[in-house]
Amino acid sequence: MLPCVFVKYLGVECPGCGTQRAFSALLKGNILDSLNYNASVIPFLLLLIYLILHLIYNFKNGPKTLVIWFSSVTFILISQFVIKLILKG
Amino acid sequence: MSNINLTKPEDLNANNGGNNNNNFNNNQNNFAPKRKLPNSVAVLVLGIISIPTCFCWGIVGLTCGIIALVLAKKDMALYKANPENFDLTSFNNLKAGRVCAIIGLCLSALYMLYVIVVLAFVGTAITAMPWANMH
Repeated sequence: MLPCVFVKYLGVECPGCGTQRAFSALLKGNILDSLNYNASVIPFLLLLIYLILHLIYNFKNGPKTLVIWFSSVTFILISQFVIKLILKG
Repeated sequence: MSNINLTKPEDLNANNGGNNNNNFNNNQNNFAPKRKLPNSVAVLVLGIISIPTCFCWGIVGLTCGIIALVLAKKDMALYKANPENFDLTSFNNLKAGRVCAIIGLCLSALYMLYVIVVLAFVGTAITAMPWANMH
């Protein structure tokens, strides 16, 4: 697994920390564990699936939905980071 | 009636003679299947990929975002040169990909800046410590 500079030198998890743990937990079938490690992995995988379906079938409101979904994933990432900071400090 | 209508355009073409070529071009523009923009799919995929990779030291997300923005700029120029030749759905894809790429690029640039600052501070702190005097 790749080390993270954030954790190494600051002791605080960065917004992207836990994605690998979350993904491996998801592969083992522990959805709650994966949400706990990093909540944005499952929405992002759904986004990728929707992207592939959109590229094949060309949905009518596909681009708009993709942008809204994408920004909500980034919002989840950043809000998760802030919540973890507050809980730790 | 229908016979007259069918023969009319042919007659026009035959009469015009010199403008025949021009007419043909117009017909092609109206009825040819609209082409897709060449890089719209690539821009969309790269723009979406740039967000999860932006936290991995910020390098992958930065490159993905920059490539997506450059491709998007090229395609925007292509579309604005003659909008009637290209597909509107692919243009919408392109716009969506561009927005995603901008968001990912901003986040990864911020993260990379932060990594550089932290590394610089830690490096100076380590090298400035009086290691020789420590026992």
